[in-house]
Amino acid sequence: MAKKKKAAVRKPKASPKRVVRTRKAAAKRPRRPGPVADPLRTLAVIDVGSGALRMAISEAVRDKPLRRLDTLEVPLAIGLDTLSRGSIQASTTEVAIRTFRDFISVAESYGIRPSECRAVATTAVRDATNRDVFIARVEQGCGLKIEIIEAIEEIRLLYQAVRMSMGEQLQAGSWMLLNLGAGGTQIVVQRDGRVVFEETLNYGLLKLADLRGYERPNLLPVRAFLRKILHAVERVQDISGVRALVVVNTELRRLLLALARTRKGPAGLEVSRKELQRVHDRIADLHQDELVRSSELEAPIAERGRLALEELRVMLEATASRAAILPDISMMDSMLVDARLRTEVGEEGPLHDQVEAAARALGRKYRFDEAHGGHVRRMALELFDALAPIVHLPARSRLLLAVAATLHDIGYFISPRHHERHTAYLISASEIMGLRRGEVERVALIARCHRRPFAVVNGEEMERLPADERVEVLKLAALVRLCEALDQDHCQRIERLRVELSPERLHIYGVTRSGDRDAFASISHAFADKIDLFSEVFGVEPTLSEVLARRGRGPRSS
Amino acid sequence: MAPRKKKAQAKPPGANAKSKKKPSAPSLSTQERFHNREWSWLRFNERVLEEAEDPENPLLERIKFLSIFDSNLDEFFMVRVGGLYRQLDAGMEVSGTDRRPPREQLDGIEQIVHELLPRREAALKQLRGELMAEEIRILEYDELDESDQAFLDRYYAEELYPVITPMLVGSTHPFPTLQNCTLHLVLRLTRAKKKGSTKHLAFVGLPRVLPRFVAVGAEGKGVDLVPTESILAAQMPEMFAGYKIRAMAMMRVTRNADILIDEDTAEDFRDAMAQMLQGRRHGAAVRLEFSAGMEKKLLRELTRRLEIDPVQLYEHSGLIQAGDLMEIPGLVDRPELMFRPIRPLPLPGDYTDDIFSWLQAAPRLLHHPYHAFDPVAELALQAAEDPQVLAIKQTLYRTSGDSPVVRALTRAAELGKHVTAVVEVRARFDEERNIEWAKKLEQAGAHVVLGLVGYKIHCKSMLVVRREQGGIRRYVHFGTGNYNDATARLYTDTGIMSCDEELGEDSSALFNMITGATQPPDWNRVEAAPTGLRRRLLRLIKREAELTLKGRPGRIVAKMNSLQDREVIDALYDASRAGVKVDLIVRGICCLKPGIKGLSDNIRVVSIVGRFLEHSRVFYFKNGGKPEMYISSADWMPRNLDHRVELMVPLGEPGHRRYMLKVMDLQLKDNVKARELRPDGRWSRVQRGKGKRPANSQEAVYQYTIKQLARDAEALSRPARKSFEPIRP
Repeated sequence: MAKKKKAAVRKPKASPKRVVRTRKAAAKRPRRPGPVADPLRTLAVIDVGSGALRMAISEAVRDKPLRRLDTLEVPLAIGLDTLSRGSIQASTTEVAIRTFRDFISVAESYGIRPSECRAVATTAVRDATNRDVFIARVEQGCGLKIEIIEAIEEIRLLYQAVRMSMGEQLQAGSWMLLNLGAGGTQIVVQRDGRVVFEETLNYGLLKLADLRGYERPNLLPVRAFLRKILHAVERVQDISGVRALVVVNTELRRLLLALARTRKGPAGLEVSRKELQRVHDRIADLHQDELVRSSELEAPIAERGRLALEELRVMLEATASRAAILPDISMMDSMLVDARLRTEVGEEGPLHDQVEAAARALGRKYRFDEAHGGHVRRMALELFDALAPIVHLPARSRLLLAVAATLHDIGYFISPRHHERHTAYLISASEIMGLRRGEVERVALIARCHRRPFAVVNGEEMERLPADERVEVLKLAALVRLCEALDQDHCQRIERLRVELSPERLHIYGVTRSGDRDAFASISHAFADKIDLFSEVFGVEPTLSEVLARRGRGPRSS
Repeated sequence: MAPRKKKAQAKPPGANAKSKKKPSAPSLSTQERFHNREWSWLRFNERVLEEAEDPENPLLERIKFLSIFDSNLDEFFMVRVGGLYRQLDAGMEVSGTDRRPPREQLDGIEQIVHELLPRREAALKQLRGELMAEEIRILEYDELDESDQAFLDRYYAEELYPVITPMLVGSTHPFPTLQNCTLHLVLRLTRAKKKGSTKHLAFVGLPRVLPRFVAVGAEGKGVDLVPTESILAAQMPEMFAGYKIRAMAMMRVTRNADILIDEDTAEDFRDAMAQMLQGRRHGAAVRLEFSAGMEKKLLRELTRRLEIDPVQLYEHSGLIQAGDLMEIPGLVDRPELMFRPIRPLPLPGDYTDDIFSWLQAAPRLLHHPYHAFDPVAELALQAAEDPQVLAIKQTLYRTSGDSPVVRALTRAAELGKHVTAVVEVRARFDEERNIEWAKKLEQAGAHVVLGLVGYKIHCKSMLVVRREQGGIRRYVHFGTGNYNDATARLYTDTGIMSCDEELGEDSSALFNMITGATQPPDWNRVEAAPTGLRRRLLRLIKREAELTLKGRPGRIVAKMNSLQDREVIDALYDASRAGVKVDLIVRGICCLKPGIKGLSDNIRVVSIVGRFLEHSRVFYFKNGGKPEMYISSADWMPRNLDHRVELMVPLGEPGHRRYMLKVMDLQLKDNVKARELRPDGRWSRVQRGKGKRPANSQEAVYQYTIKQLARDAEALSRPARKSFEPIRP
């Protein structure tokens, strides 16, 4: 221990082999080159939805909006199968395969091979007990590989597309996104340009249709159900201040286009609160035939639109929104936008800020020490960038590190005792928009390892991970553990880090302003306690010393 | 001040919307408001017969018109009369646009047909005489000299005999199923050497695979034509050696071909079609034609065996199955007896062997047969070979056997391009041919769609998807006629070719819908049946009425093959009552009654039957000065608006609209080939005013199109305006 302490107070040498000024370096860090997009690229995406199979083919030209070439839609109530029987019927699977073959044929007419079509399934397939059989049969029947995406990924895609379709003012504003799907409903609340809340509710228009009944349709149970849901949401998130309501639902959009006075706004179709109420009052009790006649829509579309309007009205009542915005965006648009961004920006994705905002929102939910979380996050990222030669992880891992560092202490909400365990299960049970399920699980493990890591390292959860993910968790956990020690008193004494890295050693300089030797000694002590995992994972034993920052001139040795 | 006030008060005539009201409709029964569909069709065929009678037409063209009259009538009996008998059997009380009992409609048909047949016989006699004067003789075997008879005997032995199957009816041979619309020799026979022996009936069908008329040697420019039945009749004693021929005559049975297949339950559509075609050959008899002088006993026997009513008997003193007269112009090389051929006009001057850049320059309106069909064929042919082309999609309703379009599709599929061919196998009387093409295309690797359950695909569209430097570009053709280069020389049709993005999207959506890849979409520019076309048409008509009532006089000019839909006709009546001037150019059936006081005073209906079959559907709506014009594959008939996939495509270019409006104007001014519909359902030739020159619209349109092309060419050849650019330091 004494040796460690000594090492911790050692002064920096005059000529370190490599000195990395982490913040500036991070700023100058060359951008990791993403995959270079073809100047022209044709994209095909298939959405296996609850009420229909859809396909969109678009052409992506760099720096130009996506150009939609074709949109296909075949109604198929997979969601109804899942909802009523729990599984997808064989006959439905047959129709799906036939339809996918037709879709593939259309894609081929644009020179797109079946393997290049991205097909995703959401709640209807996700919740079916025979989802694996369904996916296997589709692949066998037409060569299409369906990827099941989690609800949180679904809403991320949608949110990303909606945001990108908006003007700057709305992008930075406060609004609520409501995705009224056939099988599920998703809510995202954005405040001042950042996501503060997201939730996937396990009911959709099919469930509402069920509640309303078919023999003698009655909207009262639907309203009661929606109010109950609303109260559940309000308990967690205050939505009364939401100024704009962005609603994604094709049927509602078509219904309002047919019946309401609408305005074309920058983000989509705009319908005033008053007008929505008027249309609602007009059609709420109409017989289906009358609804079809007045809207000139097909019966299923008009009916789903009516239910979506009911849901929208309930939400509208709870917010201060004066109008609803209905962008012409579907799941397929979201996938196309994502596909394009993946091509142009790379796998790292364009919504890092939003993911981190979602993580902070989760932290606030569990009343975390935001300053500490933020400080650990910043130092961890500084180290990640500075130690790039030995970390060897992709940019996506950097995001996981940021989230884990931010949330590593949320377990205090339950109890300080074994709070790392509480942190892990709280993260694991949550959804962080922009992270896939597997990633959330890894974040939980990373956060957990900031204390008593060796209990986890050899545990079952780690063993279940593939080798590369296991290594990723260990490396990132080592960084979080080290940085947590650097702010062990939650006082953010170290302003920034400087790193000297050679094959044999790693020396970290903590740049402080106060020059409080006792405090730094305490930090050094904690640091020395927590280098174990780092040394084991990276094979280098880090040392720490303090550097006093000079006002306006950068750091100086203490 | 005063004049300004006056000006402010001035309103266009009829602008006082509040005071102008649509007069209420007179109280008329359905039958007083609508013409009967079937009778109206027969009146159309009467106009075809008039062309055969018209001495102003060249002789061989009159022969063709007579042939068309007969072929038309055959189809009418097979489908329409057959359908009415089916309705009668089903106990249907009323049917058709005018809601008449089927029996009443059949009686009316019989009356009109019996009114027309003597005229047909007279025309045939007249034409035979005139042919004779031109040394084209239709002779019987007995009228030939020995050498010619010897030639025909050889022809019989070598060509005819191997393909005929005599059918004897007796105690061991049941009465045969006589094939639909096949000419038969019918004979009553007895055993030659047995007194009081059993009487036999025998039938010898004329082979369909051989021509009806055989040309025998004649001197000079003349030619002798012998009908096959005459050659056969001469051989009958030898064929039935051992029998005595008691009586011999010609006969022909027409059967009900209005047979439906259950598309919902048919497991294999092609098998079901094959069964339907089989059924058509042996459906119930609806007409028996026989040669004059047929032995009464024989006729009684046939009537009994075929279970046919006396009203279904039609006696011919001349040729039966005169549709075969169509062979004659091909057997004689007499161009002076035909219409002077018109040369389809070539592509405008800026065409440079690259159809794609030609279309990139501007959308093109094609009006066949005045414009050549080449651009359409070229698009398919160049697309097949062009390496940048990814896909070709095409609807095929009726097309010629060696159509360049079908050849191009086959070639493209063989070259590995994505080819989708939508072959409508239910195109009546083209079913077998279409199934054959479908097979060939499929073998070449094309993705073939045989139609949609419950709806015939009648729209005409071709789509070429091409990957270009700026991205995917779609080239489309929408037309009113079939992709048939042969009929494109005879039928007037309109088409638009473009690489407009919205039209391309619409065409893509159309094919996606037909191939089952999507539900009916929201269209950008086009409108489609059976989803929204009816509604759109009604709105367009109503809009004219509303504008007229607001003081902006409306006008509708619509050209189509048939007008039968009650809802559309009622909308037109409403428009007429509102004061909209409606001009309709309807070639065939028209159930609308024009000129009825208080109902259709403002509607005029004109029909043009001339050398070209008027086939294009073009609709013009004045729209208060912002005219809209559409071309369409659909007639205004319930079958088109409700039971077929049809398209209506707007003409976006003002120049295209001006051209088509001028064309329709020329047709409305026609006083040579135009007839005007009277309230009683008859048509009368448009009277040429005193001192007025004859105006044949088809000739006038050709001349106008030539002028238009010359104007375009001149505009292209005009040197570009010079500009000067100073050299700056």
